[in-house]
Amino acid sequence: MWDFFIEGAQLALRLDTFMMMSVGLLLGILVGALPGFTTTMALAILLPISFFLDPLVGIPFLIGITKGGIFGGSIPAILVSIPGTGASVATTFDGPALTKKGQSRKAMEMALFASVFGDTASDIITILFIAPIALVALSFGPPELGAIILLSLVVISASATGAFVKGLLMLAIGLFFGLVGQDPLGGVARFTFDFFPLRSGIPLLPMLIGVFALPEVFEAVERKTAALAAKLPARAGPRLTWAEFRRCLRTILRSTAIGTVIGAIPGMGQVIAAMVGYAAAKNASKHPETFGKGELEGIAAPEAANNAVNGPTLVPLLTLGIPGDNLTAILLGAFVAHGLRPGPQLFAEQGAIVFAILVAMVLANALFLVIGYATIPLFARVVTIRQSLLLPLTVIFAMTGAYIYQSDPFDLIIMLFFGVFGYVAKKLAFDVSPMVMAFILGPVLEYSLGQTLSLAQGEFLRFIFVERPITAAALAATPVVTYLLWRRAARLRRERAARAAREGTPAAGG
Amino acid sequence: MDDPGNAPAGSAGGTRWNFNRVTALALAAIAAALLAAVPYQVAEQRTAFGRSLSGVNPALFPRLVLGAMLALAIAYFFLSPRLHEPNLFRRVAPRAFVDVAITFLCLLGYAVALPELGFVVSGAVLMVVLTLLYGNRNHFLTVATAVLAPTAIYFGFTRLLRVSLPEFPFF
Repeated sequence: MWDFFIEGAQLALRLDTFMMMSVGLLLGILVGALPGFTTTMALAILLPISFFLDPLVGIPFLIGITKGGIFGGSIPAILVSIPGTGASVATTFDGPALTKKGQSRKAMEMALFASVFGDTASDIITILFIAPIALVALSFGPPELGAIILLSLVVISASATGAFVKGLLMLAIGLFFGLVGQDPLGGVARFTFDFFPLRSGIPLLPMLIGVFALPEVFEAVERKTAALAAKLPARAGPRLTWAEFRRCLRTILRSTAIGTVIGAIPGMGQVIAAMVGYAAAKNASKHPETFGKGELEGIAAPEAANNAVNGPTLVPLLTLGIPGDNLTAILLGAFVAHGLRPGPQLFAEQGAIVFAILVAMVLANALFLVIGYATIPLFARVVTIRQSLLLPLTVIFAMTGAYIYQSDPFDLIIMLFFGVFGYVAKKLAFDVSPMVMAFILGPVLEYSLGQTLSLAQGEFLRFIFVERPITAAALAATPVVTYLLWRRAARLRRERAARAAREGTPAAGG
Repeated sequence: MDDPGNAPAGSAGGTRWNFNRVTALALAAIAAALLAAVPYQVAEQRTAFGRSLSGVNPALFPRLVLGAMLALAIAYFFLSPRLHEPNLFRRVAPRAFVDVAITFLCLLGYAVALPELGFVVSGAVLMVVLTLLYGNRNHFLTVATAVLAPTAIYFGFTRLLRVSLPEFPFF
C-alpha cells in the first residue's frame, strides 16, 4: 500500500492535472452559486468532457467541480438567502444576517476557510484510514441508516429555534410533504389529490428556494421604507481576522469530524452533514442564542461539515463499488469510462492510480483556497447594489433557478406556495429547518424502514436488538439525546429569562 | 415541551388563548383530515399473483407520520399557554401587508405569464413593476436593468449553460 501511495503521489504531480482541477473548481463555484443548478447537474453536464482526458486529469477535474460546487452554493446563501445547493441550506441561517450587518465578505471568507479546512482534513483521514472506513461502510445496512437518520432528525429538531414541540411538528410536516408523489418502495401514488403535476412529488430545489429566499424578500418588502432610507455599504465589509477564525477552530474541528463520519456512510451526504454540524455547534456553544442572528460559527460549522464529506464519500465507491449519493454515482460512471473498476480489486490492480487521485484531491484544496479567495471580492460586490434593484434581481434569479430545475412552470407555483409557507412559519415562530431536513430524508427513512421490515421477516424487535447492535444503540440513544438536548434548551431559556428580568428587558422568544 | 419556569408569575396557564393555540387546533384538524383521507389518497398496493410487490403497505408510513403529527398537535395545544412567543404578524403594519400581497401577486402573475410571453419579456415586466414598487425613481436605471438583466440571464443560461428557458417569438 505504501508503494502505491508513493507511486500515486508522483503520478499526481502533473501540470495538466492542476490546470484542469483549477478549471473544475472555478466552474463548480460558478455553477454552485447559481440557484437552481446543483453540483450533480454540473457534474452530469461536464462529465463527457472528462472522457477525452487522461484518467489522472479527467477525474480530478470532476472532483474539482464537486469541491467548488459545494462552496459555491454558500455564496447566494450568504448574500441573498438563496441556498445554491441543498448542502448550503444551513448557511442561510446566519449568512444573510451577517450580510445585513455589512459582514458579507467575512462570512464568505469563513465559508471558504472552513470548507478548505474540512475538505483537507477529511481527505488526509481518507488516505490514512481508507481500509477501516470501508469496513464501517460495509457494516451499515438499511436498519442502521434508518436509525441514524431518525436520530439526526430528532437532534436537528431539538436544536431548532423555538419550542421543541414546534420543531417536532415541523419535522412531521416535512415528512408528510415527502410522502406526496410516489412511495419509494412500491411506486404507488400518494396524496396527489388527482393532480397530475404532483405525481412526481414536490421538487426539492424550488421548495428550498421558496422556503428560504421568498420570506426574506417579503420581509425586505415589509421594511421597504427603511431599506430605501438605509445607507448602502461602500464596500462588502471587513475581512475575516485570524482571531475570529481561531475562535471558530473548535467548531470547525468538530464539524470536520461529523462530516467525515457521515461521509463514510452511504446514503447520508452533504445536506445531513451540514445540518448536523450546525446543530452540534449550536448545542455546544455557550451562547446558542446568537445562532441565527449572524454568528460566524453558524457559517463555519455547516461549511466545514459539508466539505468534509467529500473525501470519505469516495471510500465506499472506491473500495466496495457502492456510490453513496448522486455525486458519487456520476463519478462511478467516470471511473468506468476511464477503465477503472471500483471495488475490492481496484487497489490490487490499479492502486497507484487510485492513490494518485486521492493525492490530487488533497492538492486540489490548495487551489480551492486560492481560486475561492480570488472569486470572493467579485461576489461580495453584489451587496453594494441598491436594494430597490437587488431585490427584483434576487427574485428573477430565484424564479429562474426554480424553473430550470425541471423546466416545469408548475415548479414556480410550488416555489410560491413554500414561500408563503416559510413566511407564515417565520411569523408564527416556527423554524423551517426540521421541515426541510425531514422532507429530504423522509423517503430515505421510509425506504430503510421498508427494507428493514422485509429483512426482519416478521420479527422486527428480535432482528433489531439481537442482530443489529448499531441500530439498537442508535434507537436507544435517540430518546436519551432528545431529553438531554431539551433539558439544556430549557435551562438556557430559564437563564435568558432571568437575565432579561434583571435587565428589565423582554426575553427573546424560543 | 417547554419549561414551566418560563411562564410569567400569576399566569392562568392552560386556559389562555393565543396564536399558538389557534395554530395547534388548525394543525390538529389538518392532521386528522389527512389521516382520514389515507384510504382515499394512497393507491392500492401493486400485486403479482396475489403477493405484494413491495412487501410493505404503502399506507403504513403515512399513518405513522400523520398519527405523530396529530399527537404532536394535541401536545402543542396543551403546551401553548406556556409559550410566550410574540405573534410577529401583529408587528407588521397594514400597509406592509399590502406591499407583501402585491409582491406575491406580481410573482404569481410572472409564473403564469412566463410560458406565454417568454423569459425576457415577462422578466422585464416583473423587474419594472418590482423596481418601481420598491421605490426606485431613476427611470433610466429601471428600464436599463429591466432590459439588460433578463436578456443577459437568458443568453447566459441558454447559450453558455445549454439550459432551456421559455422563448418569445423574437427571442
